[in-house]
Amino acid sequence: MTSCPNSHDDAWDLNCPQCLARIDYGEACRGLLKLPEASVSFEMAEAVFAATPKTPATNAFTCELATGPEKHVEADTLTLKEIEGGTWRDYLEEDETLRKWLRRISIGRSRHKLLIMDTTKPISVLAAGNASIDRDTTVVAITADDTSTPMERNTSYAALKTIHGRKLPTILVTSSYAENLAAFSESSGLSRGRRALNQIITGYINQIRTISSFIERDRKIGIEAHALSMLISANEIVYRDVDAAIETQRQLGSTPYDEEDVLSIRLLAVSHWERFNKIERAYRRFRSRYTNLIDSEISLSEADTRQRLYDIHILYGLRRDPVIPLLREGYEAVAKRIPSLRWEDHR
Amino acid sequence: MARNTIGVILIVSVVAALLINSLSAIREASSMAIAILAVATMLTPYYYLSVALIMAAIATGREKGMWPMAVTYLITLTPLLVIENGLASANNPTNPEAGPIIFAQLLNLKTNMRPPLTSLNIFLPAPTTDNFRDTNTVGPILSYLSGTRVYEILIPLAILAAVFSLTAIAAGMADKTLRRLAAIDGTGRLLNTITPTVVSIITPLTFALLITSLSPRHLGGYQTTLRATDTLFLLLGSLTLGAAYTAKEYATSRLERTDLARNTLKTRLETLQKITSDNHRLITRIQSKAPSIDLGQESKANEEAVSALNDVGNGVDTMERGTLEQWVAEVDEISHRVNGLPEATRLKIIAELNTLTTYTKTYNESLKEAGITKAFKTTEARGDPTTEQALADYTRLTIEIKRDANTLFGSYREAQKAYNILTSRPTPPPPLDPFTSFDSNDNEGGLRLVAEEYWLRFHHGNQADLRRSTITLLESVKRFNELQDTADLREITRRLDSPIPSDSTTILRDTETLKTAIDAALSHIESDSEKLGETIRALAPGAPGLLGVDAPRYTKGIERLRERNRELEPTFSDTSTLLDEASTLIKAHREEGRRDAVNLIIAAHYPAAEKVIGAELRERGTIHLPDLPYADNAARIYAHLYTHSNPATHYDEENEEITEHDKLP
Repeated sequence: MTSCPNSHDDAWDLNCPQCLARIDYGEACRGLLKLPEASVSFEMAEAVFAATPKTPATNAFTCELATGPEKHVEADTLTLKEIEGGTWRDYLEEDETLRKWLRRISIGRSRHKLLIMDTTKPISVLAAGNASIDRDTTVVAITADDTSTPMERNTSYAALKTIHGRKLPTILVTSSYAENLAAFSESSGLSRGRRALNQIITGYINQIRTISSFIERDRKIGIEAHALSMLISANEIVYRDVDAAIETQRQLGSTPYDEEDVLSIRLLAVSHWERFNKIERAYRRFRSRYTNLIDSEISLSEADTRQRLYDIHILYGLRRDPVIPLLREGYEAVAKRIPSLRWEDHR
Repeated sequence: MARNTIGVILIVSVVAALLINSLSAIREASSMAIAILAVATMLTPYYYLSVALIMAAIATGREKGMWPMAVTYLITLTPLLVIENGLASANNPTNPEAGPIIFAQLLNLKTNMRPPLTSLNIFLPAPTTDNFRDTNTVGPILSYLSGTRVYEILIPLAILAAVFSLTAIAAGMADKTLRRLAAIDGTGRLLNTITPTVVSIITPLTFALLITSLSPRHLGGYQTTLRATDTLFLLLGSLTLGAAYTAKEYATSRLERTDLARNTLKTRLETLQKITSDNHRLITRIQSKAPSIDLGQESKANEEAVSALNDVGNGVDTMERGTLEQWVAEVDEISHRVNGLPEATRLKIIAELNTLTTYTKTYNESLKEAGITKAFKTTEARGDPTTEQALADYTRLTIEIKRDANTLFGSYREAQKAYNILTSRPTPPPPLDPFTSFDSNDNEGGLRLVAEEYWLRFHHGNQADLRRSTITLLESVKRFNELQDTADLREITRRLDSPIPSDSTTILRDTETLKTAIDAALSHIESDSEKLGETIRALAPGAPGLLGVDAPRYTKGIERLRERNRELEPTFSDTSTLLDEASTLIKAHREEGRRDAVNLIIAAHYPAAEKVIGAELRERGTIHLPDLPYADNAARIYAHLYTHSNPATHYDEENEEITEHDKLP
């Protein structure tokens, strides 16, 4: 801006119209070189959804990586052109595109980071290995299982191996588990399948501090792979008591695992405060069954509903990824026929 | 030497006389001619008539040439007087005391220069050379001029000039005084006529008195032969000439007055024809732009003036002075009338504008009373507008009033139609269009029709009925609003709280909005029920029936109500009934929804329960429901659902057991 030496209003003239002092255009040009200070605030949490529809969340930035008929770039969605018959190897070509886009939308600036991805989809490998995904990002991985095709298992295997290769903490959820989920909320009613999963993930994003704390504690004791189980909108109409409700969780893990491999159990309960004691007692009994536990933790969060509902989320820290062995056979079958889909070679 | 000097003086005098005469001739030819004629008269026995000639000319209005004539006369006469005195001194040397001759017949000059003349042709034949060379003639003149006596003539000449000038001034003053007096009413013509005669008397008498009384030796010291008889003849001659001039003046004046009257008439006719033409154009333009302003009177007055002027124009070239003068008076009267027409027209437009503004203000009050926010355009008259400004204001106002009337009439018809629909009344015949009044230039009639006959009457005639009719509807809307709280419904409730007939169109729109809201609410119930059924069915095929949420539960009731909602007119009573029925259905649905919530929570946990039951069955082969982690009712439901979707199992309700078929006894 033009500058009057006597601090009068700016004027595009040779002299100031008020005091007739000569306008210093040289100083004005030098002033243009300085960038104004700006403070940018980022949301506390960010969540990248890869190959699965994003869900909105308050106080969090969410974005989506998808494939479609045409390449399309928006502030919160990157749609890569779908490759007909394309495998995860083919989509790795877009690594730079994804990296630039993630940088442009400032992914990595929030304190808590989530990567939610369907590892049965080829672009999940691209997302898992991208350099813009920080190493402290927690991955929620929907994995292939025994109901998946060999190609899906191969893709899921490659994605999981990539995640483990980067030592990213992972919460494993099999496709069947996700498809059979059902959830009820007083605000949105009954939902099931991926819609229910999204609803649960939204709940996780809302409780991101607790979840991140759980994951961080596990990282410190060398745990990267996790399974989870959950009770959404439970009450005494459904379960005989809290004990019985929590006890069912042993059979309802998001992925099959061996109880001996459970090294930590961390429970997040959202309930009316009157139920806290019961939950704690039930939790203690529940964890006592796991003999190899290194660490356990409970977090209680208060909330009230008309139907006196409560939610229980249990995060199991596992010694090893229980899904990889399940996928290996399918992975190998494909890799043998298509050597380019051998993850180890790619690495 | 002395002779040469005198000769030079004489020659210079002659040259000066000729030069001045020439100048006089250029400036005033007729004056010079009269002056030369007067000088020539000095050679005759009737020399005194020279003064009469000069003075009569002055007295009869030749004031402009008075001074050229007097100067020419004196300058021409002076050398002749010198010669006369020169000759006289030679002829009569014994009486040197006699004094110079100033105003007398130039007898010596006449006698010595040539044979006595009997006529006024002295200058016509050329003088003979012998006479000029005659030493008897030239010698005495030269002797006189070179002697001392020549100086004696200077004072008398000056006196003559002074007398002549005073006489001319007296004549001029008398003429001017009389003509000024003629400006006084009633004496003008008489004084104008007698002025030449009076001047003809005063002038010679003044001259004779002055020239005679100044002649004695001790005063002027000059000779004059003017005696009482000469003075009398001078007076007679002057009177004769004055009379001749007066006669000429009278004849000229008479002829001039007729022409003047004719020319005046023609000029005025031209002017007035232009004015009447302008007036016609103005009236035509106003009538075309503002036909509602009645300018018949002004138009008629202008046409009458045009007709009268045409009559005058047809006779102006042939009529006598008397008629012409009478016509001049008549034309003046017409002129007065037609000149005032534009102003009268302007005032009429302003008056019409003010009247129309008053009407609009009055009828706006009626509209306000009827609850109409729209009003007729009004305008405040300018201080003192021109015709163009007033006409522009009036035209603009009438256009805007018509446009407003059209809008108000249209909204009235809509409101009336809406009111009839709302109250289930038959549609009346269409009301009279106010433009029938406007088209017949009855602006006030059009305004009254719209404001009072339609809106105000509509308001007063239906206000009470409308309030009664909306009470029931308002209660229904409030009940419905408690269930479906929206901004629209709140606004409708507010409007229905204090309805006025002029709001009928809005109220009809509101009832239509209410019907739409009813349909949306019913549709939402339907869709809710359908979605719920689908979701539960996806969890377990038999779940909807088992849980009592076999959607849609209100299908028939909803369909019937939606059908009626589509068919019925948005009347007060029907809308109220529909709202009440919809409210009942919504309430029932919500109540069911609350009951459903329990079933939905149970249903939401079935996928987990299915796994738990499956695992237990695989482990034990038979499950007692109390052994399951579920509450009794939930456990029974899950048992039903499980056995329904797993045909290889059986649920024994009596013993509350689930058993695999192959484990059955």
